[in-house]
Amino acid sequence: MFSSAVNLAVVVVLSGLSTQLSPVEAAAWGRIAPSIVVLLDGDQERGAAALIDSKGLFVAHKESVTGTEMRGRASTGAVLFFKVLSSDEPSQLVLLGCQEWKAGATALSAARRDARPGERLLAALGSGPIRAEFVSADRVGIVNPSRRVVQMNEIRFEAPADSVGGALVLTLNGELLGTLNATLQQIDEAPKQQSVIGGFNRDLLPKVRQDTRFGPAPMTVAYTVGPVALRRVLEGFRSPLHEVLHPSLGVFCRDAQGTGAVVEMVQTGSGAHRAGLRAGDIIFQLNGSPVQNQIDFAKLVFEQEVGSIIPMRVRRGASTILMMVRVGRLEETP
Amino acid sequence: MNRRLDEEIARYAFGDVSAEQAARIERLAENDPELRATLKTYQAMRDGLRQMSPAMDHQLSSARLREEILRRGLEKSSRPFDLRWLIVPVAAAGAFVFGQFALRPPAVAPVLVASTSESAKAADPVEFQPWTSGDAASGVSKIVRDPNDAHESRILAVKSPPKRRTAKSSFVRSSVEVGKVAMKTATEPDALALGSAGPAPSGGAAAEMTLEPPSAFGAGAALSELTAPATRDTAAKESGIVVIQPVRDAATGAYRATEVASSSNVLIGS
Repeated sequence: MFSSAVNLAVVVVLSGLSTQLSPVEAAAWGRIAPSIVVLLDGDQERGAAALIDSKGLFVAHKESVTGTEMRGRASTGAVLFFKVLSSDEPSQLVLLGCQEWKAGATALSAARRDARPGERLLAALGSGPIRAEFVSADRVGIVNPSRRVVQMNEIRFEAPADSVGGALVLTLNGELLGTLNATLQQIDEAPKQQSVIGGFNRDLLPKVRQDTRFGPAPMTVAYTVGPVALRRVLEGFRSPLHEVLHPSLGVFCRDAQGTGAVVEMVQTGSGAHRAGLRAGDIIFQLNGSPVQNQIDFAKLVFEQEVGSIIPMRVRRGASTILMMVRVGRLEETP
Repeated sequence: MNRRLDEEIARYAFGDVSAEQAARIERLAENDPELRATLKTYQAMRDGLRQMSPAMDHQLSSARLREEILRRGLEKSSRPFDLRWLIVPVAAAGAFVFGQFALRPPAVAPVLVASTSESAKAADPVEFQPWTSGDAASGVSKIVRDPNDAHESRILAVKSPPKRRTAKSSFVRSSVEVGKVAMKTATEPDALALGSAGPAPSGGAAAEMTLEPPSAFGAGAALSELTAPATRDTAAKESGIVVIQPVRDAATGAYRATEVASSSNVLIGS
């Protein structure tokens, strides 16, 4: 009888804690919330969208969007109608327009600096915010099936019961760090085993924050597109045509097992094709930067501006060739 | 005959090899008189040892027999005036001399392709040749451009491989020495840097050559102008690389990501 009462009391206390952000986090969310709308699929909360332009432009992950038109609920409780204006495949972001939007909330921008490892973040779900933690800005994501490389942020968070795919990831300053694109397997498998402590099963308890970490549930590792890609996407979405220009040379390559990237295929009509690049060539320098492997090459290409003409050095047999290559747009290459 | 084969034959003679090994040795012995002779020698030794041994058969362990056979078998026979070992070094020296003198190509200037101003390029009708050979007399080849895209994409310059090395680098005796030569050359000014694109350099600049790819000298000599330490952040090879699959994770609703330890064989689109 007594142990049951204690268990109940613990559950009640921890339930309260689990939904609470720290005062700092709560204050940050209070500032951010007016710029966030909850996207609705019927009556279901499907995800969140962030205001990126005071004229009523919102960005959301494509997982949070259904069809070309949908409803959303503002922090004031008002229900608004949104229309899909554009989308960007590499980042999985969708641009939504809301004509009824009334200026007042602050438009969010992409983070101007890399977050620090260990920095506390907020992930906005349809059901509200959860805590997250920044890990690294130096992850390289290879997106299948396109085989494109995208620089990624790694974050981790305690997975809630509901889906987190497409959650908006924000700094406590109200800057947009990205949307949650992918999750890695859990770091710690141990908590999956039932742990009975003090007469009650902790796995049945709500998840709570412990000290500086979130435990006791395992942390889930997740990825958002990196700052360069995000800034490019938001800039493109805000442009008059809402177009995002990702750079591409139209080259598929592998590690040259030494120095450079060995070309496997050159897409017809691409900048590299026009410059005379062939399969078997080894690219070892791009725009003045050495290329150690195919990842280096992809990262360098991703940093270029569409339309620019850049030097590229390749080895063909025992010869060295200098080419000038026009950086194309990702969508232009077949 | 190498030592390994010699040991195998000894084991075969003693009956201490698998059926596969035995078949292999028999196959080799069919075509190799020397091997057959060796085999007979070992078999005779084995029979002799058995006959001479005062010990009972069960006391004559196979291990002891094998060791004895191997010991005797590996002893070098004394052959006075056997100069067969000279064949390989003499052949190598001959090939080297042949390569230095008989196959030396006529000296040609490196091929340099000059760049002209943008306006001139746009006006000139040109043919597209992704590869070009140079004019050996002048050391300057014609400009190579894409007729469809003269402004935007073209091969600007072609740097020919060295026809021969300098005297200093032609007698490299170790991969380390080769690496040093490569590094030294890498510090010299690059005549084909983009900023210097223009009329082809002459004289000393034209004589500048590119070393062959370091891979030609083996892994130990993997030093080139672009692989020197501190010239490039190599984090990509060391930091996490994740492959994102277009498959939803049932637990999180996000795409599934998997880490890869090495990206060396991963095909990348750029």
